[in-house]
Amino acid sequence: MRCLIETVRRGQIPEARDLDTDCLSLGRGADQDIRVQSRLAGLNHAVIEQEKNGDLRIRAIAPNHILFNGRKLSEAVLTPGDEFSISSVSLTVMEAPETYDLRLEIKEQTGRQNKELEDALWASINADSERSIFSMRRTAWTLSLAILLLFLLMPLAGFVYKPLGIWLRTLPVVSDLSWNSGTISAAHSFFAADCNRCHEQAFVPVRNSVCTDCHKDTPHHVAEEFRESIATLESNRCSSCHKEHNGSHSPALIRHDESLCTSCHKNIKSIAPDSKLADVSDFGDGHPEFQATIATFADDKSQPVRIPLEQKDRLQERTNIEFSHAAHLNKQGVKNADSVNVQLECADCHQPEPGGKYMAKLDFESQCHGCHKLNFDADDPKLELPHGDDRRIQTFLDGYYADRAMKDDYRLLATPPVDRERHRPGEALPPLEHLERKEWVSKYVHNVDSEVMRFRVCGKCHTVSLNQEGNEESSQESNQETSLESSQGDDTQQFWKVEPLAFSAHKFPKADFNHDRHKTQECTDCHDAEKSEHSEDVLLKGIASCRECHTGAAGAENKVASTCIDCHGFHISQNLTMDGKKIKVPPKAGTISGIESPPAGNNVSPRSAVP
Amino acid sequence: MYGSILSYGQYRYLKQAAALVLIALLLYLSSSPGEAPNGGTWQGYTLGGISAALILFLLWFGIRKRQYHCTETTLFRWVSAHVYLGISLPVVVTLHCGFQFGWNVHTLAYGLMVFVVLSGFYGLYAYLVYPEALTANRCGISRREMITTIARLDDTCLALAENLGAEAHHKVLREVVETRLGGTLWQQIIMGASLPVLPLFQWKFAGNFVASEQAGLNVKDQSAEYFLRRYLQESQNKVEIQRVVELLKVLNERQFMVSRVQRDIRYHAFMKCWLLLHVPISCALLAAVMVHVISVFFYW
Repeated sequence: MRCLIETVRRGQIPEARDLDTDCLSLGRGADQDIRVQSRLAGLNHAVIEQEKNGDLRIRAIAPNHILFNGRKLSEAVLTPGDEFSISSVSLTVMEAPETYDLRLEIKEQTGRQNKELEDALWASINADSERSIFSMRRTAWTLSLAILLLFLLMPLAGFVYKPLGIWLRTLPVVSDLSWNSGTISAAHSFFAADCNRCHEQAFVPVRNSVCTDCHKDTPHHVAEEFRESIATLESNRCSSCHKEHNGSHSPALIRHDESLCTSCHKNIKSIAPDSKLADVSDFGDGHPEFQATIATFADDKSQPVRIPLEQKDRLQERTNIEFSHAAHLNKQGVKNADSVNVQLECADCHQPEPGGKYMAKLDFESQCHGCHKLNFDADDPKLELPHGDDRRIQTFLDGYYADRAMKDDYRLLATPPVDRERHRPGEALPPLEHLERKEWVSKYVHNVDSEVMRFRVCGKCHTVSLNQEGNEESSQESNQETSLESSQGDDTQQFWKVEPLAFSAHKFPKADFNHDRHKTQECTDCHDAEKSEHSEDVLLKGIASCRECHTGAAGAENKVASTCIDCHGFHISQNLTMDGKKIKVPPKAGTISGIESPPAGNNVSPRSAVP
Repeated sequence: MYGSILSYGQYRYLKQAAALVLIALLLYLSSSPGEAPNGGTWQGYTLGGISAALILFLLWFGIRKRQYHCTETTLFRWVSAHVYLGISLPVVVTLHCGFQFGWNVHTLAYGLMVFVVLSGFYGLYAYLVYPEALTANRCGISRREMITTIARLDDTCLALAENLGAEAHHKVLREVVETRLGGTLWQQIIMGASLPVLPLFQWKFAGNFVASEQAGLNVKDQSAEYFLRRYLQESQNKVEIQRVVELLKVLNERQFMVSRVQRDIRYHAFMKCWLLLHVPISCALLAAVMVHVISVFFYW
């Protein structure tokens, strides 16, 4: 292998050497064909050999190899134009003259040897860190743009072009579902994946019409009588109270907290100056005594009046029944119809209705008849008067005594007894005798009717009054001594009438009391029945007895924390729906009767009052 | 000096951050018991506004620290405020969200915020610990001086090795050329670190003895020191022994200096590495907060 080596040194005349060798050695050693004057060069740094096919191959021996065309290599094939360097000495492969196999041009750097070593050390500090794939700037931009693209631009595109939005929602992350700030309530979860069902317009709060589209039949949240006084409530947005995205069963959707009510009712006059309601701040220490709705004697008519339980003197209910709880609950027992002594308990008469919330209405047949028989004639002790319709009693007695008159019993019963006349079978009574029997029946029935109505059967429990047909005024037996004789003489149609029961079925129509939830308590914990001797007594102990177990929202030791909504409903309209239509069958509230159904309306439970 | 990051102005920013947290707590506790506390109440909006302002303030530090001409307030003061207000941020944000988390962009922003703050905690630790270690390691000389010393020792080593034959020169040259002081951040951290459990791992990353490892040899047996010690045992030539002893001495001195530079670089890396995450994730956090705010009001 014939080589032409040209050495170029700065400020010196280039020199050329001619070498003919099989293996051209390059290095720092004195024995090398080409001496490389660099500290970082090995004694025998590299060799160049000619391969069989004529290629010239350079092979590095030293550990720092050679920098061949800018790349660190341990060996390479040399072609004209290649450049390689050993430390600071650079060599260029030139086009070899015809008779040469290789022509190398060597350029030696001059300068401090230490500088070369120092540079290499600096390079080892900086080289890789500059090539580092991790760039703070690039990472920051990449992450930020990715977030903006995935979580903002794509959901926005989906909002603008709905089909895209619907498709995006089937993918993870990139749809507006990633904006969902919290779990939708269970009630609305069936359309939770359709954001635009509620969020119709960009940057516009959810409109009430979105809610009322579905909740159009929900009773209006503002009762008609309050619409003027609490106009602010009506102008509110639904979502200002009913907060979504707070969990599947979040209390924020249907608020139960005290502030829902006390924000206005703490100082109700500031909202509604004409309100007759007392201020309420907390059940524990800021609630007025309960007011019971009872039937009273006011204006000589039975009518419902709300009376605070603390006004004991006014707390008399006109029930039109004579009943003593104390007598019935006598510890010694009471005699039943068979004169057997029985010990009665509350539950013998008062049973809960299905569901257990209210007590079932009392029924004569089930609760009273076992002891209170309606027999009226000693000759016929098994025969009883019909119950429930006082007009039927006279008819019943007419029929019964007419029958007895026909059986000639009237002669025995009449005073003085009438001699019996005999008649042939099938023969009509003589007119005089017919009249006599008729008169006897009329008189006898009148006596018995008066007796059973006033004293013996009906009058024993019921308030009975004398009623004149066509005359609206009735005189009450209990108030005046209407003698039988006074009504006997004239011919006007007078009859004894049982006054209808007139106690309020629900004393607290504005509250939502549930007997079933209080069944762990004794009846007498709330109802002072054992001491009540008159049916006029209102057997409610008042707020103090409730506070023995319940307290306000803040809670207390061994007490149930109770908020307003635990007992009261929101003032839902009885007549209007959300979309302003009339409710077809308005529920009755606070009715006076012993047989009315429980009042709804103001008593609507918070659970049923929600939209 | 670094301790005063925390105690600046008689803990002025600690007090301010504590006051901020207290205000946030009072706001949170004032929320109506009927409403689940969340970002949508007036307290939530207020806390959200405070959080956003805090984030912008904390991010502004990145700009302020690059404003070298600005002399209105010292950077030191800024760092102190950055640290304390940064610590208060997760509290305010958690109260803002009312502990409501989910798989959404809002919690993404929250998670990024937590990550940035945690990395900031590491940064605070690094800034409190490593400057002192750095000073102790340098012993009053600069890195440049240390490198110049290594280069001088390299020159001496190679000059001494030349006289001990090609193999000795080869070993020493390899020691010299394969010495890596820096490299990628990971290499900067791992290099020269005393990790007794992972010596091979360490050497590998230090870039040493890769070839011999490939040959399946014990890496230590291939070192210049090992070779020279063996050379010492076998050699009878007094002059040669003297040269080898001299060379070993220089190599040892050189290795000591290399370790010091590597430690210097490692401490710098420890102080720098957290920023590689802290800064980009802060920017990502800004983007996520933007999306959070826009999305909340977009679907109001």
